[in-house]
Amino acid sequence: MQVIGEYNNVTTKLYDELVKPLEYDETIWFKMLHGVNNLDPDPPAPGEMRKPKVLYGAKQIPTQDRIRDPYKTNPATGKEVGGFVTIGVPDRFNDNGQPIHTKCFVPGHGTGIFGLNGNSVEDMEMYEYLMLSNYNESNPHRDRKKEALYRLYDEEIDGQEFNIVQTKKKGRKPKAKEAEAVV
Amino acid sequence: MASLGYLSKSYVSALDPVLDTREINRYVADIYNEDYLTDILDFGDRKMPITTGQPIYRTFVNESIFKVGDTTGASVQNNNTPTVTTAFTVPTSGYTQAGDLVILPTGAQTGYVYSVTTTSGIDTVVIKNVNGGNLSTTAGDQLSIYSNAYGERAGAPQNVRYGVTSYFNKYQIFQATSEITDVQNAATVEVEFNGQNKYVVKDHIDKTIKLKGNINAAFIGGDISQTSFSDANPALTDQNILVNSQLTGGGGAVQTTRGLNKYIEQYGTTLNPGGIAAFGAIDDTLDNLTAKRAPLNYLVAGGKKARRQYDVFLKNLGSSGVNSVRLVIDGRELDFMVDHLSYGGYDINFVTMPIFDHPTMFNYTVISKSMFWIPFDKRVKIYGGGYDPCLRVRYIPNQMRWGNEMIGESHSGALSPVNPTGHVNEWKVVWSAYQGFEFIAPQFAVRQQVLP
Repeated sequence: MQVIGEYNNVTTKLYDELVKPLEYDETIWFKMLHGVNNLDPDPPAPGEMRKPKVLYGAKQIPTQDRIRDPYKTNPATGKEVGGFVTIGVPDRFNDNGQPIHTKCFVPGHGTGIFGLNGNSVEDMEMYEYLMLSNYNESNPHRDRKKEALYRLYDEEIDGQEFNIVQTKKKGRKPKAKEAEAVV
Repeated sequence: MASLGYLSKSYVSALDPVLDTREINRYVADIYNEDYLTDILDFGDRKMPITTGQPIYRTFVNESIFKVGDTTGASVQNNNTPTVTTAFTVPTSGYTQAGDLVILPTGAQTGYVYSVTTTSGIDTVVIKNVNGGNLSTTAGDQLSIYSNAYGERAGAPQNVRYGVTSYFNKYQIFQATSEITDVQNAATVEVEFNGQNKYVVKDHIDKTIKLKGNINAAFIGGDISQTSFSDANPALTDQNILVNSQLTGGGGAVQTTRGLNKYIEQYGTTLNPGGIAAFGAIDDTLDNLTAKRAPLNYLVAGGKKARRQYDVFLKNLGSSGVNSVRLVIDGRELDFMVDHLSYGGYDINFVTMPIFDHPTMFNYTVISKSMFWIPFDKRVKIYGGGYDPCLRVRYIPNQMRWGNEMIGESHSGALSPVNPTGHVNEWKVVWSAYQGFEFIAPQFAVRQQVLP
């Protein structure tokens, strides 16, 4: 994450708790939560593009957020008292080096799932932000007043919708040649 | 009874409560302004009758001819060699064939598709670099299938089938009732409505405003029902079965129409930049529109509070950036000025739509916090040339004896001046409308949240 002063300055404890390291060629998968049943799906026809059973419109995930870091310490006493941090994935800065615009991220359109690769700096920065954000339903420290927009892909829950071969790891999807995906 | 003393106001008023005349303004102030606040500025082209009378209506759209292969999740083999193997996701499989040329993001190199193997709906693609050098690609790359190349004495390529997709919506039945008894109908009131001191006149005005508002609000915020009129066991049924101990019908299936907001959520793009209306947010919107092959002229409509987010920095651009032009609906100029901004190849016209300012209707939802980007003249290209209105109202022509083309009126009761029936001493009017919204190209629309 690009730490600029207090921007993105989360505690190591919170980061280690929520952001698990990705291997270089590993892909981590997320599922969008705004799908609605398609009242007019086409019958399944492998090999042809069809209207899916669940519709996922193109929905932007805000890439700037203000989160609560429960492990922020009081500088005077050293005790964990919690605090608030603005996090984001900036892509434009003003002359003083302060972020003025964050990346526009509109993932999962049509399929409802998206992946981020460990071999991409851009993906890794986005992954760190997504795991810490309040919009992540999988985040135990999230602000519940904010609408959850995505969560980690879970084969046991999501496999039925996406008809993907079972895999044991949460958030990981098998390689393409192992998948029997009909989306 | 006589008494000594002067005639004061308190003395005379105390003689009898009905002795004093009353000083009442004969006009009733409209402080709720519902008629204006349910207006949607002639939003939909209201010239589309459902000629077949069917409760579900469809429009077919084409699909893109130039495709992209999405390699998200692929296992890339032999990377950084002249021949690489990758795989496309299921939604982007099924149309690639040997002979296609793809362009890879890294180095903009061109790869010749040597073979395609399809298993379980996934294309595994072998690609050779046309210039003999190494190809570099990683899972997640988007490979554009931009051209093709065939050899000497080649056979014909496989036929690619381009289909059409239908989008559908349902019409909704809207109703409003006015009912007045004989006693009240005979009585007059102190105030006037349209020059008449009858309360039924006010009621008719209120009910027509309510009907119009219900229809307009459904066209903005409505959602399509799972239930259709044709369902054998409908999940949603009319519960208006028994009213005042009288059977009034009811029990039938209920359909609702999808409105603008849900069309955009399901088929368009919803953006939430975090409440900052600046060129960065406009840039993101235009990038998304360009990716959707949208037209270049847009109407950006919202409530006053949402629009202020734009006005704050738009006005600072000075007269060189923003100017006023007439609103255009379906090629017709209306006598209504909008703020126009030309930026990034797009013409953007900002307008305040009154219904978004209604203090209760959508005030607690994302609808009132957003600006809606829709094609400016509300037209979409059709196959073979020409245009079709992209925003329109489908309706069943009035089947009742009274009313107009789109709204039917039925009258009953012994007191009805139009159609006296029965022996109940009342005058009852029911207005009915069978209307549905249709948005042909919701892919071209954006809902941009500008308020937290």
